[in-house]
Amino acid sequence: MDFEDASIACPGKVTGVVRFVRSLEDVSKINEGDIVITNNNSPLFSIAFMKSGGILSQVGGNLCHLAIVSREMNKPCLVGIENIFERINDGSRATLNATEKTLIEENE
Amino acid sequence: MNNELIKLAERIGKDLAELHKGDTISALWPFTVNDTGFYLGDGLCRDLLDTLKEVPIEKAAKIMKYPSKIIGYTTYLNGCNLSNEEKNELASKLFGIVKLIRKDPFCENKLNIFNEEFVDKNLFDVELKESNLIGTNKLSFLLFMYLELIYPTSMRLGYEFHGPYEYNGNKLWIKEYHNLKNPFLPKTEDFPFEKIIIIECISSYPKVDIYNHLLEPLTKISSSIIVDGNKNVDIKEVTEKIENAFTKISKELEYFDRKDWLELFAIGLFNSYYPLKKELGKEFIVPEKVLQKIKEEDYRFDVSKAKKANADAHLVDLEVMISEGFKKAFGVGS
Repeated sequence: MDFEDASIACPGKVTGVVRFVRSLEDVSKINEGDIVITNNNSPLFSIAFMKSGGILSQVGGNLCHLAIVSREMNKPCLVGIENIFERINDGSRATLNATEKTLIEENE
Repeated sequence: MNNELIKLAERIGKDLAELHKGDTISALWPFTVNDTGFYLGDGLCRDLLDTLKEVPIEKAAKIMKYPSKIIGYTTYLNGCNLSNEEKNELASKLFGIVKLIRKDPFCENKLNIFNEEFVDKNLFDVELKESNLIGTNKLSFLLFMYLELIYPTSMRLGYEFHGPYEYNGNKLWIKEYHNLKNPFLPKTEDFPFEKIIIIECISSYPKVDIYNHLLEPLTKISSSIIVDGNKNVDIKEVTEKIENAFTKISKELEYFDRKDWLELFAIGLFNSYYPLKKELGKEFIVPEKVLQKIKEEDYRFDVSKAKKANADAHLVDLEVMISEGFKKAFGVGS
């Protein structure tokens, strides 16, 4: 899966389980190293971001706050991806290559 | 000064156009600066102007210390009801303060280096270790996210990144996180520290815009921290305390509605220059008119419309539009 429309907040590569985070209830389901997919950059989701191995966000650009903090943590991160939840499967194992703007799910 | 304000407006236009073109607006939480401008702009600009009339800018610079938050105040001149002359006066005073603190007040070279008298060289004399980096990176993340809770949309009210400074063959990047805990700020009573400074030895050159957004990742070699003036601290212990406090405070804020967030931000914004008023022997207060407006009015900036307009506009046109808006706000536009 290519995300040409995405901005690279922080380059890098990580493999993990994809987890959708759309509400505060979803935050508690995140395990260390999961690849977090979100539509909300609220700091109330910070614990999810901190535990994650990488992040993909539907909203934001290269200078949004999530982008800035992902660079602090050197955590692969792409932002501004349209319709992200329709393009990825929750719970799948995948490799995020933020440098190349790709996410490859293991059953692809 | 008017020529400098024109130049400032143009610089802001350039930097904000980049920000808006990059769709930062859709990620702003829990509201945009336009929303806070509607509720707080008038009250803030009037109160700030009245205060700065009584404090010489040289003294104000020493009290306020952090140029990015001062530049941030100029945003509120957009749409406030001050007269043209008053807008010009406030903009001149604010920029006058920034000029005293920053070597390059326009951040033309994407640097935020302080003038010598504002640099605390005591910060440089720390034990820098490569092994500290994982801990200080996590700390940076947590502190930034915490600031986003207590100062939503305007975290620069609680941080300033500046440098680099050459010291003992090292290039030092100073990250000051301040006003983290304050008796006037709700929800900060459980936060364990008032001020944390992270000192990073870097090999790349930092790039910041005029609002102190870090534009690119840095190559870090080593780091250290100073917590409430103490250089001998265990980074892991400090981080754990902050993580626990952050989790607790986040839980308390989960049920906040929009008006609660607006009120919290209003307190933080008006408190951010309270040291100036304290110097004059005045009490801390958020103007009642501001709190009433938050209670009674329901203004919401149209983010989707703005997002589309930003996406459709050419970067240069966006830059000109924003610059012209700020020139008007500074009382130097047509």
